[in-house]
Formats: sequence, structure tokens, C-alpha cells
Amino acid sequence: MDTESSRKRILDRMRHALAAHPPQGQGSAAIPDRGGRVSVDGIFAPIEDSLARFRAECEANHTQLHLVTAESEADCLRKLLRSEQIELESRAGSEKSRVFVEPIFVQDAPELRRLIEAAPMPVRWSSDGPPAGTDLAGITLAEALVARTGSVLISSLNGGRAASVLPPLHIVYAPISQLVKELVEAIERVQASGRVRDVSMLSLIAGPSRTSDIEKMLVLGAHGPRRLAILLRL
Amino acid sequence: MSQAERIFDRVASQAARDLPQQQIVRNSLATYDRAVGAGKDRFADWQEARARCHAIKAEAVAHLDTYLLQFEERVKARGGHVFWAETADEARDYILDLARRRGARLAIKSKSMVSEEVRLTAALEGAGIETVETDLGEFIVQLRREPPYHIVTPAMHLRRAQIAELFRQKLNVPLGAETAEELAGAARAVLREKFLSADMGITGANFLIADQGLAAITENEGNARLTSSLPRVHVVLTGIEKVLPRLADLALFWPVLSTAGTGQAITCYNSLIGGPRRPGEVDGPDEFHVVLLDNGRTAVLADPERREVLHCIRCGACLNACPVFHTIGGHAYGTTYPGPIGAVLVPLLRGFEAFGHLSYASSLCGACAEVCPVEIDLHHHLIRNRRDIASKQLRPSRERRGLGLWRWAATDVRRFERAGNLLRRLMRFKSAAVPEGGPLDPFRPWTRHRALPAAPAESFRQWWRRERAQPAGRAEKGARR
Repeated sequence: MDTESSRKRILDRMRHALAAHPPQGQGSAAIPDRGGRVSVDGIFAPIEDSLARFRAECEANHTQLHLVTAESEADCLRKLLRSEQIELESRAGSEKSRVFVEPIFVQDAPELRRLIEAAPMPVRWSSDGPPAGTDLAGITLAEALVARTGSVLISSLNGGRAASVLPPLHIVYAPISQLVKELVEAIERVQASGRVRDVSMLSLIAGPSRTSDIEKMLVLGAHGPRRLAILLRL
Repeated sequence: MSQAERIFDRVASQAARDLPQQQIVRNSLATYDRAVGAGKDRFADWQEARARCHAIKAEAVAHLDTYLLQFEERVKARGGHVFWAETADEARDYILDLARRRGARLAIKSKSMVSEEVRLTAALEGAGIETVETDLGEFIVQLRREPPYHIVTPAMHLRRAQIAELFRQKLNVPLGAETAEELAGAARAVLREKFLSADMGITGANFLIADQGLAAITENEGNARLTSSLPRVHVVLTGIEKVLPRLADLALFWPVLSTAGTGQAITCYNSLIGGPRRPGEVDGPDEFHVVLLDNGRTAVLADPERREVLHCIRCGACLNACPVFHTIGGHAYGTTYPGPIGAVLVPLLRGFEAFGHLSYASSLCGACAEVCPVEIDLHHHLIRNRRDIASKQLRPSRERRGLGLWRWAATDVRRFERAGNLLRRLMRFKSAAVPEGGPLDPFRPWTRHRALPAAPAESFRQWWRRERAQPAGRAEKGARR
């Protein structure tokens, strides 16, 4: 296959098409563009209280939001994992699938090492390899949290690509300083810090995986996690 | 009459009579309508959002070559490969060669309409590579050996009981598993094994981000995330028109696509993928390819009147709004892209000769253009297609003669009146002499399935003259029919 000539022919056709009929104007509205920034001003109503909005959106998209402090975080994590263990065992009983007794997959980061130290449990660190597909949960940090849509922006540096999508429970541990109001701010953050350039994947996650492909009925837990929990460190 | 048109006539006429089937689709669309109504209310100014999306798409298309080259350069800098495919064959062959070179035995796919367009699954299966759809709706229609019914909701036409029966037959799911949750769980279990053992992952892309060299993929199930994370090769197959200038444009396009597509504030997973696993990363494929497909798109670009058709973000809103789609369903179109956007785009991509008939599958009510989140003037494009089809004399001679006769009659008042009188008399005679819907009925194509309205006793002009002749006042109180 002559790959170069296809490329050249497609490009030639595009250039010819655009030169023969130069585009007039820029469509029906001017793009408010401030140095590579796209304005969403006026598109959405302003948000006054980020945390209140984030909490409401998380509830709407079935994310479990827990506000934690240095004192309460370990206990909160233990409770979450215990409830997941119970849930999986009860499902295993009815569905005859295998019981998950594997450890928890955790992004290797100082914050999470501290957290696990306070709540000791069998753990596999991301520095030892990717998740196995049998892990009880995946615990990662995030790049940013977005109040507008109750979502979490993660990257492939948060424990890899599969950590947030393979285990049945994904737990995000994030300081409240990572919470921004708008998606555009989260994008600017990862762009300004060079993160976008340095990672091979980013994903904006809003709630546990879901499907409505059967009679439009919502099912939580499609191919990804059935539960998404955020430990928001105040 | 083309083969595709014959199929259209047959399937559309069956579907138009299948009221239970239409009810399934209408129920699904009622859920969609409620969600989208609430979704639009989340915007302070939905119309302004549409206008800005239109403007950004116009900018992208106006510099399509520049943005694609920028995208290519950035993807290469991230260690990925970019292949430009002029035709469906080239795209297919490239992916097939890659699969062979990497010794792939199992390929997993997440939803990609472009892969339907190039018939990728059949090609891979033909080469002995098992190819599995992982989106639940796509998985269901693949088990049924059927094309997707809808570009966003592929199994929209099926009842839960049908899916339960299908899973019992094909997946040995036990009797009694029939809630949506149980069925989704059964598919998850089967597909989880595939995810963990696949050699190659194939996805589409909703957007290509020029300034960062990233492919953006929108989904809810997590299947695209797994498809792009676990296998050792990841291929993104998409059209050249998907490019957006800046990463920040997604702050607008992600919520707009979610709202128009499903009514969600934002879809569950909006992922950006820019290359293979990087040194220091835990996982991810070791090879990353983007296949950019032309397959007729540059011809649409060359037509300034039609250029904006390339703005389409494949949200499915125009299908959902279209009364013709509700009635004839997604399979009658016989093409990858059904509904209003398909009726505009497919004849442009694949020729008026074979697919021009699709541009007539519309009442021109304009509901499609009203809901389009990127403001594509869909129903006017349908009229433009019809104009070109008519000027190329591609319509049946019977239709042209009929319209010629109509023009002759309608361009002279006396002729018009006489023709009307004649027609009314004929209709009355016909309903007295010939059984309605029978083989002798000249209106049989209509009357076979529905009643013909009775011919009125007089024309509007006659009624008007008679009413005006009455003394004033009576006309107002008079018996208006």
C-alpha cells in the first residue's frame, strides 16, 4: 500500500477544495477566543458554591462522595472496602461467579502510602505492575475535580489506564484544593502544568460505568466499576 | 431503481405497518425526550451553545488540512502512527495488515460508526481474527447478525424479552435471567474474558484534538476505556472531519454532545488518548495507530453549499426527532448512517444514483435542523440533494411526467379548476366502482394500508365563491365545513 500518496492526495483535495471556495466568515457566531481559550461565558449559569454543586452533581450521577479529614479518612476507607467485600460475596452467592479475595490495587503515591499505613490491608502498588482484573478495588489520586458536572479528571499517571476502570470499585482520594468550578478550568490546569503533554491518557469520569442499552433502563456497572467513591480531603 | 432503493421500499413498508415495533422505539424515545428536555434546561443558553459549536466546527473545517497536519505531528511526537486512508478498502487493509503483523487472534471493538462504514468486522473475521463488539447494544446486534438500528442506541428496536431469549440461545444464560441488570451482567461476564485476552483494541473517536494530538472518546460503559487500555495494540478509526482546533473546545463539545445524545449532563467517560504507553506508565498498549478516513468526505468539503454537513458530531438527535425514522425505523435506510443526517450524507458520500432515494425519506418538517446541536441546516440540505437529483434526471420517468402534468395544470387557473373537478369526480367514481385497496384500485400503494380521504363535494374556490355570494354576516355564522 502506498501510504504516502494517499496522504498527499487527501491533503491536495482538501487544499484545492478550500482554495476554490474559501470559507466566508466563521459560521453564524463569532468564537469568543481569548488566546487559545474558549469561552463558555453565558452558556452555563454561574456556580456560587463549588462544594455544594459538586455534592449535588455527584448524587445525581451516583458517585459516593465522602468528605474526610486526617482523622476520619482511614476509617472511611475501611468501611467502603468492607461494604464492597460484602456486596461481592452476596453477588457471588447468587451469580456463581468467583469470590474476590484479591488485594486492593493502589496508585503508588506518597499520599496513598500514608493512607494505607493508617488503614493497613493487603495492597498491590501500581509500581509493581498493572491491575490483575481480580482486585477488590482501585485507589487512585486525580488531576482535578469538576463541580459543574460532578466529575473527576484522571490521567494515566494515576495508577495507569486500567486502575480506574477494571476493578468493581474505584476510589478517588483528592484534596479539596483540586476542586474547580468549570470543566474549562480543569482543562487549563492540566494544560498549564504540562500534564497533558506528559501522559498518554486522560479521562473525565462522571459516576460508575453505566448502560441504558436495554429498553433505556439504567444499569450501574456496565464494563467498568459498579461503584465510584470520592474521599474528598478537607 | 437501485438495489438499495428496492431494499428501502420493502423494509420501510414492512416497518411502517409494524405498530408494535414502532411502540418499542417510541417508548425508548419518550425516555430520551424527557432526559434531553431536562438536559437542555441545565444550560443558561442552549441556543448560544449551538451557535458556538457551529462556529468552532466551521473554523475546524475551514482549515481542515492545517488542523489535521497539526494533529498528525503531535500524535507522532507522542509515539503514535497516523495513516490517511482515501477509501474504505485502504482503511480496512491497513488495519488487517497491522493485525496480521502483530499476530492478533482476537480483536475487541468499542462503538465506531466508521468501522461499520468500512465493514471492518467482516474483513477481520474473514481473515480468521475473532472480532467482538463490546458496547452492550452493539454486542446484542452482533449476536443477532444485524446492523445497528441507531447510531447511539444500536439495540433500540428490541424488547428485553427478545434479548433474554437471544442470550439464552447464544450465551447459555440460564432461564429466569431477564432484568436489564441480569442481562447486562451476563454480557459483562462474557466480554470481561474477551477484554482480558484480546490482542488488539479498535475504537472510533468523537473528536480529534489538533493542538494536543489526542483522540477524544465519549462513552458510558467503560468498554472504550478497557479497549484502549488492555490490548497491546490500539487503533483509532475515524473520519477526517472529527478534528477540533483546541483541547479547551471540549469544555463546550463534551456537555453539548452528552445533552444531545442522551440528555446526560456529561457522559460517564470522556477519555483522551494520545499514544502508546509512555516510559514510566503502568499499562497501556505498546502500539497506537490513528486511521483517518476520507471515503468521499473531501468531495463534501469541495461543495461550499454542503460543507457544513461535515460538522456532524453523530449525536443521533436528528434521528430521534424525525417522524420518518420513528415510522420506518433504522434498518430501512440500509446504510451506516440512518435518519436525516444519513439521508443527507450517504447520497453525498456514495452517490445519488444508488442512494439518492434516501433524500426523499423526509417530510421536510425541519425537526432535525431544530434539534441539531451544531446547527446543520438538515432539511434544506435534503432539498438541495433533491434539486440535484432532479436536475440529473435520476428520478423515475413516471414521477417526472406526473410532475410535468401537475405543473401544466397548476400554472393556469382554469386548467387547475377543471383538473380538480375531474379528479374529484374520478375519486368518487373509483370509490363506488372499485373496492378500496383491491388490485384494481389505482391508489393501491396508499390504500393498501390506509383509507383514502373522501373527495369533497366542491373545491375550495367553489366554496369561497358560494360563501362570498351570500349576504354579509351569514358567511361568518355560516356552516363552515
